[in-house]
Amino acid sequence: MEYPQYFSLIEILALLIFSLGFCANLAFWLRGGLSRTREGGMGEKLLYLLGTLFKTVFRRDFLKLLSLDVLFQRTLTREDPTRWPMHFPLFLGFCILFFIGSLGDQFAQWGWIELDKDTRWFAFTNDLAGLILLAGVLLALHRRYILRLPYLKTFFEDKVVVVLLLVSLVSGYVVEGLRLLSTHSPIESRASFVGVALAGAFSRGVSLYAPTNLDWSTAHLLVWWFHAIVSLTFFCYIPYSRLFHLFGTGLTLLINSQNRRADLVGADPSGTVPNFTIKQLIELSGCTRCGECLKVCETYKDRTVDPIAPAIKLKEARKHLLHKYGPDWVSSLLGGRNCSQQDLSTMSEAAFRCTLCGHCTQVCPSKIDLQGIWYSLRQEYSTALGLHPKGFKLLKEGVIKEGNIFSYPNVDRALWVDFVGDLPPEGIKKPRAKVMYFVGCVSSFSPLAQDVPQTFASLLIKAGVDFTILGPDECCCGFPLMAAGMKEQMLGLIKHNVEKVRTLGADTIIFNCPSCYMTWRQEYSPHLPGVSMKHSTEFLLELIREGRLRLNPPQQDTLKVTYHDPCDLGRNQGVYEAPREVLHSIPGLEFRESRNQRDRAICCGGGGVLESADPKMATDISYKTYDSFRETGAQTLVTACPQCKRMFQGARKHLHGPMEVVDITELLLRCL
Amino acid sequence: MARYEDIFLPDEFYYDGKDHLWAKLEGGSGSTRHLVRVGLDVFGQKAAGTAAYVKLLPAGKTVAKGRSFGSLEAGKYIGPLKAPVGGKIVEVNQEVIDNPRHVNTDPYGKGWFVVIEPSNLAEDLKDLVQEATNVQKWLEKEYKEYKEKGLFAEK
Repeated sequence: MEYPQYFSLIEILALLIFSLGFCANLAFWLRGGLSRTREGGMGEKLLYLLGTLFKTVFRRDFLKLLSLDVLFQRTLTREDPTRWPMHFPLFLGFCILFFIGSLGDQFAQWGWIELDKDTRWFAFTNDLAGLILLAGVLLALHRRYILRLPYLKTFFEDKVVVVLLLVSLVSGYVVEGLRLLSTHSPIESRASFVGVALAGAFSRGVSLYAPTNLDWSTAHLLVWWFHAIVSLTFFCYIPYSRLFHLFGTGLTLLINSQNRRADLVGADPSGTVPNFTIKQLIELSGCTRCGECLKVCETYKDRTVDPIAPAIKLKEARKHLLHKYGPDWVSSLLGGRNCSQQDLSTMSEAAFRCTLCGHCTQVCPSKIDLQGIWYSLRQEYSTALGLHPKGFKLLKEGVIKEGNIFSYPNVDRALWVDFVGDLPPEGIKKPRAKVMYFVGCVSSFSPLAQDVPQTFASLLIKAGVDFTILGPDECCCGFPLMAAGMKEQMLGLIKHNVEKVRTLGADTIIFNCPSCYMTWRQEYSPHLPGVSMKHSTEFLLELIREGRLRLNPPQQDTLKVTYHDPCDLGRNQGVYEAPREVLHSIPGLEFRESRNQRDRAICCGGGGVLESADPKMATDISYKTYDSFRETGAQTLVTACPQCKRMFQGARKHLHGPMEVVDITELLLRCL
Repeated sequence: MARYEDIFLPDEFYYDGKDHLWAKLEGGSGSTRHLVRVGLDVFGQKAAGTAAYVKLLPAGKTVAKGRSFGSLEAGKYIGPLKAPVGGKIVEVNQEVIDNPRHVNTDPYGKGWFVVIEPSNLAEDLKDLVQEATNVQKWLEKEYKEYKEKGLFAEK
């Protein structure tokens, strides 16, 4: 069949609508900053985007990434084995039909290639691709409407997409069947096997129920128009719907394949740089709302309300940012929303109902750095819009005025030292030392966590380490401000603490608190070249290996212990082995690994300053996580974070739990 | 007894004007061989909220005035408990460690923290709020300030 001449005009119109949507998305991406500290001009941003793509394309493993991650979508198999058989056929079928079926046909019309609809391989491939796509659609419908998987959230646009896809697919087969009938030639030998079957069925049906002189050509033309309009509508809809993840996810996978968190470093003193980087705005387009993040989100599981669901947070944030960053035409085209104060308050509350544990980032098949987006979102709601939990004001004032999160006079920061039993006569606050122990706010002030610095200091003394603390000169590292979305206030703290380190002449800084450790490594290290930063478990392991700490069995019988990986130490810093090796070096200790270990660890509930935003949610999570260790049969739950210890101590008390909770330093001190 | 709104402070006690710890002189006669029982006053516990954890130095340890003899974690307060007088800790209230709620339910009774054998009592008592009239005045002033700043913990 020859296409009507004016159909080309319709195709051009569709292409224009698609291109407009594509450009709108691109314009939105370019509203992001180059980094967290610099916005950059439009030229620079385009160069950055092209440069990033260029760098990615010329990476040694680009082809592997492109084929395995983007095309074969292997990341989908990692979390949910049933998802790949649904999504890959959708992707494969769509790609074949679009690139081979539609474009091939178009090129043939233009005379670029020798092909017609009866070319055997072409007809067969199209019909097969349709079946592959249909299988994907049916599986998707089965998951969404029969199995009703709770983590799959369905919105109007999802229904539109499925309807368009199904109608386009079915009408495509009908068109082929009618085309075969309209050619008045034997059809049994044709390669479009579904079309042949349908043509036979139509022919038999018509001979039974309708006049035999039906004009198949007219019927074909009518259905063809219907199919063409539906298919072009689907094509046009891509950049205006979540279907745009076809581009967003692919780009995210390529950009984030190596270092997802590079853009988090730094703080903007002027407050004028957008809270979101280009990379993060691309990531917002990369979310497929597959729901993997919902499965592991402890705060969502606690409340199961939509605004807390990570994927929904991304969706709502995108609408808000589209409106905020504009321009107006982009916002209007892509569904930006001028959120009411009530909407923004709900979104803000949801953003702070999060432990920043990073589990969502870990499982995201699109490799979106969700955690980085949570920090940016908090910055957006808290600082840009002034929407944050009530307690954060006190937290901020405490940190800025006193240098600690508890608003206590910082001069009393080292009162815990009075509890250390074997202090050397010169004390542990010295004017100069090679090793500096950064204690952190929770360890300094909380009676539930003070055992940690006390025992760690005792261990250092016993190992003969020449170390010092900063005492009242130590200020909060700034992590709580970063988590509260008040990052710009950190700069003063960074400057203060860095100066103290320089004055001491320290070349090594050690930490008990994983959040302090993470913050120093990310935010402070550029200011302290050559200074080594270690978590207490890494430092203690060195002391054990050097023979400076000789360990004995902690008790006469074998002690069964399990270990909780603190989020900011394990998943967010990659320190999994040091604490385990320390535990394995204790004689007479039976180590029982938990199911939720390493990058699958569940947060204690105390992360992300959740306690300040929603204490009940924080404690509920701590109960659940503490309980999850019972199946190990361990007598002792060991952790390596003062905040985790605090939370689990509370859980143990509430649940009358059998496992004692200790920090790894406490266990070691018992073994000396 | 000094009273203001729902706060009451026994006027025979001494009070740390900043941290709201009370000091009760026990035993001895005159200023010799006194022991000092220490706790958190009603005002302090209302500001701190529900006590969740109390940690105290063991008996036998010495503590200087203004230094930490323990620490408290409550709904709205996490931090040290500072000695209103210096000396040797001779008794520690295990009951309040086991059940920190005593701090809220019985602040002048079961909620005490430690008993200190003071080393320089006369000097250390000087800057504590004492005598009925002063306690009443201080209470009213503090109450108004706390109320104004919203520093009392919500129930």
